[in-house]
Amino acid sequence: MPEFRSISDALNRIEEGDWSAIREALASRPGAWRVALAGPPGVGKSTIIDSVGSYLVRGGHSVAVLAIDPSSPRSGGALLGDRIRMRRLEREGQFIRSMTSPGSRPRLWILAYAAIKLLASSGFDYVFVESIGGGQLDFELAYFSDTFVYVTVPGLGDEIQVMKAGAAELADIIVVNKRDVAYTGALAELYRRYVQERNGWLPRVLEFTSFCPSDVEALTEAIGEHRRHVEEHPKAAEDRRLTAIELLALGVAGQGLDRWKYTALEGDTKGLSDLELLDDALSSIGIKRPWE
Amino acid sequence: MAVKGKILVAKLGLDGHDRGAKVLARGLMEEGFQVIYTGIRKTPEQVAEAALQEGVSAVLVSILSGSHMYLVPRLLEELRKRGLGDLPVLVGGIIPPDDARKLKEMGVLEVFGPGSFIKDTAQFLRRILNA
Repeated sequence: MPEFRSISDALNRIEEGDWSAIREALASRPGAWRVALAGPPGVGKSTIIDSVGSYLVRGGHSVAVLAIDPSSPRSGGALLGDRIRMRRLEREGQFIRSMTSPGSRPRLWILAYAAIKLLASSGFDYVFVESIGGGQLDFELAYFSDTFVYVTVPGLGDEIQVMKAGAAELADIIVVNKRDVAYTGALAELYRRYVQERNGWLPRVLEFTSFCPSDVEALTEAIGEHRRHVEEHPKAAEDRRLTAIELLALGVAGQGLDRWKYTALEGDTKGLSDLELLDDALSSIGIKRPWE
Repeated sequence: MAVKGKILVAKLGLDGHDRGAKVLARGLMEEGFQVIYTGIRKTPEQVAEAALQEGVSAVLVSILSGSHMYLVPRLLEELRKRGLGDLPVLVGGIIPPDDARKLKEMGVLEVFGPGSFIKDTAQFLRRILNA
């Protein structure tokens, strides 16, 4: 088991936006298999991490969790409650870290990616990342992970919702959760109708409940199967990584823009057009205007 | 080094009454803090370990069960064991004044009883954390 104190200290520096810590994390090579879970709030992402994670622990593996929760658009504060669901992982002495990022979403990308990289290169066998709970818009983690799991439940809409663009399109595994309290068959069937093979992998659709050991085993097995597939198709994994770098480049630009807004607010911006403001924002971070 | 403005709200021992802890967690979120809530029935070891893993800059413990004189010293000890002896620990709940004095002698920074205002707790935290 890795030494938690130094990992936590490094994560503190990343969360504070310390560029030397972020730089170090980005330069590292991940050793752990990174599994990310996205989906609407309350569908069971944290509980799945707890059940699958503790199943892996019983199999002799070590697990780290990065749980990302939204920050308040009003106060910048946050209520981080994912840890509450991870009682078994907590009891088994695994590493759980909650994280939020006041400020822009691009800023969150770079901090989250650095945190994932740090955990993945710290000696754990598996790193689970839980998304902010933004539903279909929550697709970035697909590029920040090795296996991307989209979690949903029945009752959130009809076939049109299943057809819509977004995170579910990028899922390697789709989990239709809470089959202990709801009928999951119809929604799973809909997803099976719309999933498409990518790089030789047909996304698995699983009906699931964390309370059923054989379901937990089946999801763990599906993750393992996907892992073997990725390891046989390194080109697809590299495509994923380069998309992550594209997002990080945006994130670095976003970092500068955060400060730009506060500087601009101190002056009188009322008379400036959107174009003039965008112009000023871009030049403040040294980015060439695309229209020139 | 801890993360500025990131704090832990914890429930220690066999105490399932967490309305106060929830109100505090939500109120401090509205005051701009990043609040991690542990949930109920945690051991001193679990709370200290959560404080270490999460990189918080303060720990706020809520106890209504009367077992504060047993649990809080153990929490302080578990924090010290992890090199977190300097971490500010605040206690809230039903704490008799004599016990509050003793807890402060042991290293608890402040005790907040019934009738405390969240704004005051937030202000206290901002002052000690420079946040």
